[in-house]
Amino acid sequence: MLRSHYWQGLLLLGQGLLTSELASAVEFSLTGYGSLVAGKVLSGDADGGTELLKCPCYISDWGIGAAYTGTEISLKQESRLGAQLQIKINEDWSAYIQAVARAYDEVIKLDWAYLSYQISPSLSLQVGRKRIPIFYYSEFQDVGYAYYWVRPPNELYGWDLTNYNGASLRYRTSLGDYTVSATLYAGSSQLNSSPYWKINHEEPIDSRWRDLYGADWELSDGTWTSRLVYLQSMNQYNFDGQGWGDYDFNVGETTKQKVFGWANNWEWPQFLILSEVNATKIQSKDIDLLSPSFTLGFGYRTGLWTILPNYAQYADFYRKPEGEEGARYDDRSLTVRYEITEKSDIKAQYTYSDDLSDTLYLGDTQHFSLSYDFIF
Amino acid sequence: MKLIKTFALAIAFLPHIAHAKMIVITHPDNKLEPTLEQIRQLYLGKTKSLDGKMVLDPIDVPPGSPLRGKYLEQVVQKTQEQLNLYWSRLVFTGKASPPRKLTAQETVVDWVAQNKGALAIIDSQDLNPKVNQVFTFSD
Repeated sequence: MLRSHYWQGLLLLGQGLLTSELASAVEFSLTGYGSLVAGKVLSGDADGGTELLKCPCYISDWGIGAAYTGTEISLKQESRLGAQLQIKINEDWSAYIQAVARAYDEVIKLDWAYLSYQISPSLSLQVGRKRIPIFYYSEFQDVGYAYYWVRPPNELYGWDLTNYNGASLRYRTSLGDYTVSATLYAGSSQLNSSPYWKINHEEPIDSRWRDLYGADWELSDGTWTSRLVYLQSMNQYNFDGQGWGDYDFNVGETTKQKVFGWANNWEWPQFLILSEVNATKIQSKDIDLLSPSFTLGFGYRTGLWTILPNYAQYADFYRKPEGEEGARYDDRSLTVRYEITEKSDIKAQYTYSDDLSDTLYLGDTQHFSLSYDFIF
Repeated sequence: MKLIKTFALAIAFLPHIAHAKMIVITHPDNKLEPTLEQIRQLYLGKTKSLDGKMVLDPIDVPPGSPLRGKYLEQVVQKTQEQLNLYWSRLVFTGKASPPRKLTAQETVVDWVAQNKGALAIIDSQDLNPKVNQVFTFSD
């Protein structure tokens, strides 16, 4: 959600630039992406789940609360279409707008809307609404064509908030055969009636991350890319309109969140190694929780085919409350990708999700999905 | 006899055709001397400048160009599919834009001659005094 005066400021700035003498040099570029995804739970534990989520089930997108339930084939959970308009106002200024329509909630949302200013050839400032760059695939998580799975592993890519309003400063340079980039960003994020919480709660829960600060540092030689990330925020949740409180809904309290991540990917012509290890720390009045997760995949490419077996795991470790049992699960997946055209692919992915929690949460699940991804 | 003459003419022109090379051109005021690695980084959006001051604007080698295969092999070192996947991670996150695509009405040499930061890859046969040749690719 974007505050109205924020929007007004951006629009006024954009209007001023567009009506300037340089307006005649404005260039427009429309691009986009989409995914048509069909999925089906093959089998799983019926003992898992909640009152609101009947299992066997498979949660494919925590951010929008999308889950496959039952054993019917469905195209609703993950199919989406995105379009981006880039307005190059002049050599230094550009504006970006990106809207995404999802089959799941049948709403077109403005996910990205920001102004970009090139301070120097190596340094750029962006102000507006963007995707939170939490982990390696976070910013382009909706662009199915951009990665090798049907979806990035849910053990790492499951958040209640995905976009923020704020500013980011990005520096990029070359050092011999290496390119180095570093980003600092700050802002806030809020979502009312968060779909993430609807998986487990019938009552509406609003989420907000304030004092959101983050940084990432990336080094690449074209084949190997290494990316370190850090994020911190002060989080609050409003349970059924009772007032903002912490993770346990203690009104007036706040939850401190820290996120660390390190991705290392190697993409050779024939082989891939995709790895990422992350940890999230949550601290509030009654909770001290550390949630590490990791993913590791080894891919083989031959011609237009890519085969990628992958393993990912997520676990909760509570220091407070003492003795609290956390969720723990892993995914073993096998994805086969075929590039149909230069701008589209189809993927088939089998996933076995193993619920390793002390107390059964969602239960074990076997899931199969087919996707058609494209860019334009 | 006519066939022999035609064949002889063709043989005479072969050295000229064989020597046509892929080259990089810039605006005449640009005194760049880029390396192959620098050209690669420009065309992959990894850098926008070679001197930290002038923002450079690389022009795409269009898909229908006879140079496209050599461009993919020697400059970006990716197949077309790999290149599209590479750009899809950058374009939709605002981190970089692919090389500029000219319209059918715009010629590469004229564009480079009129735009100081422009940089393009052409066949050496298309070179003319309006632009600078700053790099020559090996065969």
